[in-house]
Amino acid sequence: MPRNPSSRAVIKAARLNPINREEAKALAYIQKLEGEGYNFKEIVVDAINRAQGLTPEMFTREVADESNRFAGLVEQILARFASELLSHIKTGQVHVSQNVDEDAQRDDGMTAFAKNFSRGLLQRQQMIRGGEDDE
Amino acid sequence: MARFVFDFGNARGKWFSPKDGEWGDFMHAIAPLSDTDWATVVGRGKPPKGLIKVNGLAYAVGEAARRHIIRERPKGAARYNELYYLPAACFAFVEGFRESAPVTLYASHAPQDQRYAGDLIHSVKGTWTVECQFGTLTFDVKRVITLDEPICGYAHYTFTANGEERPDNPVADKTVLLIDIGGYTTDRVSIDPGGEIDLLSIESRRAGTIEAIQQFENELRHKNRRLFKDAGDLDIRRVEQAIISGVYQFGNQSIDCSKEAAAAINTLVSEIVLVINNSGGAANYDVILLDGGGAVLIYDALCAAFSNIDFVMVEPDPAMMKFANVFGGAKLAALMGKVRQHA
Repeated sequence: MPRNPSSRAVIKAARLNPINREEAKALAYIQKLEGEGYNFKEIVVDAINRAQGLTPEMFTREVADESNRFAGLVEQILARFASELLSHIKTGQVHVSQNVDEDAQRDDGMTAFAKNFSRGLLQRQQMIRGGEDDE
Repeated sequence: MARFVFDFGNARGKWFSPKDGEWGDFMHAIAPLSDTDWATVVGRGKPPKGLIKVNGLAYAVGEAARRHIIRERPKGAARYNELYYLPAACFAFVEGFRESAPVTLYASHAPQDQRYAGDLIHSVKGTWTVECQFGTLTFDVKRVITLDEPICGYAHYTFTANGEERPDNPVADKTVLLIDIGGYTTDRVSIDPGGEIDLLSIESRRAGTIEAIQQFENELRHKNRRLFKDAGDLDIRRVEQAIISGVYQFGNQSIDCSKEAAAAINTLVSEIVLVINNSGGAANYDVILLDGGGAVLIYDALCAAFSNIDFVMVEPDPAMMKFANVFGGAKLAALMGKVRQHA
């Protein structure tokens, strides 16, 4: 345990100094992953989770693991039904979204952003207790 | 059931009725009236604007109570009771509906008041008979949902009136700090890319425009003692305009008050810089959204102090900035409606 717990400001600032060898390695790693589209928060959360032996979502995306059961299952299904799916798409029986937003909105008319935000909002309402009129 | 959004701020009460697209505000001033006071002013006729009776108890609210402005506003549970919050809310209902209505109330509050959310709900939930300028109206407040003011401000910037993400949302993938500069408190919330609210970042700090404005007014009066000798209360809108422009228009005389204005703005900017630093520092954010009436006063000074940071006001029209939270509250109400529909 450190003598003083890190304040939120220290954690948020996380000023990594490239002169320090370990911090330089971390910086290079962060820059590499940011280049792949991950943000600082995702990198930190996944790194801490990995250190604890967990298997965070990012690594399942990052590492193409052939032994991954789910990926294997998808592969089998695609191999079996790919030609059928393609014919449906060609005949217009399957709607193919033109962009990611359209995909996200398909279920309930809400974008991924709106879903994330509303989830946080509802969590906050629960924190407040009584924020939602629950009598 | 009519949705109604109410923000009982330290300086002014603001309301928005999404159904009719009506909004308004009134001075934060409430005075209980005795039956004798009521009889003297109202007699057997209809009461003038601002004089109301809520379930038989008489009050002057808003401009009508300007002589009874409470210098030290009650805080916490003392504020959210049937003798204080309720008459203010009922006055807003009267102004917004002008007729009886069943109401779902979305009430915004500073994050520091979250522990009093239950008191707020208890104070206003129920059926209220209100005698007012439009006759005797009944407001049946069936549901009360409380909302954090800075989250309302963020929602105003990022959502449409239908509760949908605005097209080409400019902060969808940005780390955002929202600062709501109110009368007595400045609230903040950090939002990570993808609209993820950092729940631990929602905080209030006791800093706001009222102190800076009072400092400005005192110095202005002191410097122009003779001129202001017989001047009563100064209109807050004229004072705010003088802080922005550096000139106070006294009748046909223009008084240069640029020094006093700069001092007041600097006081407020220093407080906001502290808020930014306590949030992790300006360097950790892509955009800082500004909300609340105070944002208009210090926008230029903040941009000058942090030239590398994108400061954006959540409401582009400075005159409408004070309504940003109630407009945002209505957008949150629409969003919550959608979530409930699909739950």
